[in-house]
Amino acid sequence: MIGIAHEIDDATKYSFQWYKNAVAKLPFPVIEILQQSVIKENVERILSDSPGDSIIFFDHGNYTSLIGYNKQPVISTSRPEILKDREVFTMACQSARDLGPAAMNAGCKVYWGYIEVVTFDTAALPAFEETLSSALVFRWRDKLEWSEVKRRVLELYDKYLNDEKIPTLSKLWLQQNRDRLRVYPLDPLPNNSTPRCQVSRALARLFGLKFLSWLRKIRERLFGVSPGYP
Amino acid sequence: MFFERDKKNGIEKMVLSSLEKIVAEIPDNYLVFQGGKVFTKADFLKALKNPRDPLTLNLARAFCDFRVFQLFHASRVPQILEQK
Repeated sequence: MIGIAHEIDDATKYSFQWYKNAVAKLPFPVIEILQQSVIKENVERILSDSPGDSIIFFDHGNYTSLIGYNKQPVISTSRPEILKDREVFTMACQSARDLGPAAMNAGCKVYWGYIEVVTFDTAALPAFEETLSSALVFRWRDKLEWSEVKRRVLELYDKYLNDEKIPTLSKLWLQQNRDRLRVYPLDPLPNNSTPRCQVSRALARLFGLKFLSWLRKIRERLFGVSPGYP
Repeated sequence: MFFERDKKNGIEKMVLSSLEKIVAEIPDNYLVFQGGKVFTKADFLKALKNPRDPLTLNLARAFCDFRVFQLFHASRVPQILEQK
């Protein structure tokens, strides 16, 4: 098990604590990559030293990447094969839209993530912590199957959505997070064969998806983070 | 689609007044973390003055999710009945 987490802004001050709380409940040691160590070189080195190990990643992401301490991608669609044979849990924004499917196509066993931005607020912090992070405890402490993990997490969302003490605005974000959760392969992979961006669509039509993917890799090397961050 | 239309025209008064009620009930020190952004209660109050503000549209889009909409109104049914 590899735990990757860092604290780079106000949001991650909370999520880093949630990571620590959840990992403390696991009954086995976790190889941790934390704070300033969360950079691509370290992550790739440790992942290649631990083939098949599951991954927990907190926190920022975009459609194509999980973002490191230096705000650069540490795991991205340019090299999804590093997630092969692994179970991946992340509460990062958006990564289940492109990175998750790319990882699944590259042989990842399970990818737990969100297809759009994840939101939480200070009016219902325990509800957000529980709904966003308890899946990893259900899976790796309680040893539940992913289908059961998902069922229990959705139950948690429903419990809080029906809780009169939770402000309506917080319920609104909880509902949105619930709708954006994806667990592959339990959920169908989105059809990403047609890019959303018009320029990308035109390039794919003219030169093919492989060419587009190559261009994206070049962009990522030149500029680091691809559009969509944070 | 509701928001395809409302990107141009702003959101409907009924939605806006519901959002104002929702925002009014949160504490003053409220913070919301969305992606890499942080919003305060004051940000929401300011945005709600403009039905075309992206933050208002974002809030309205989430609010108009059927279940949240239903929960919000269901929680107020007893009050509405009492008033009648």
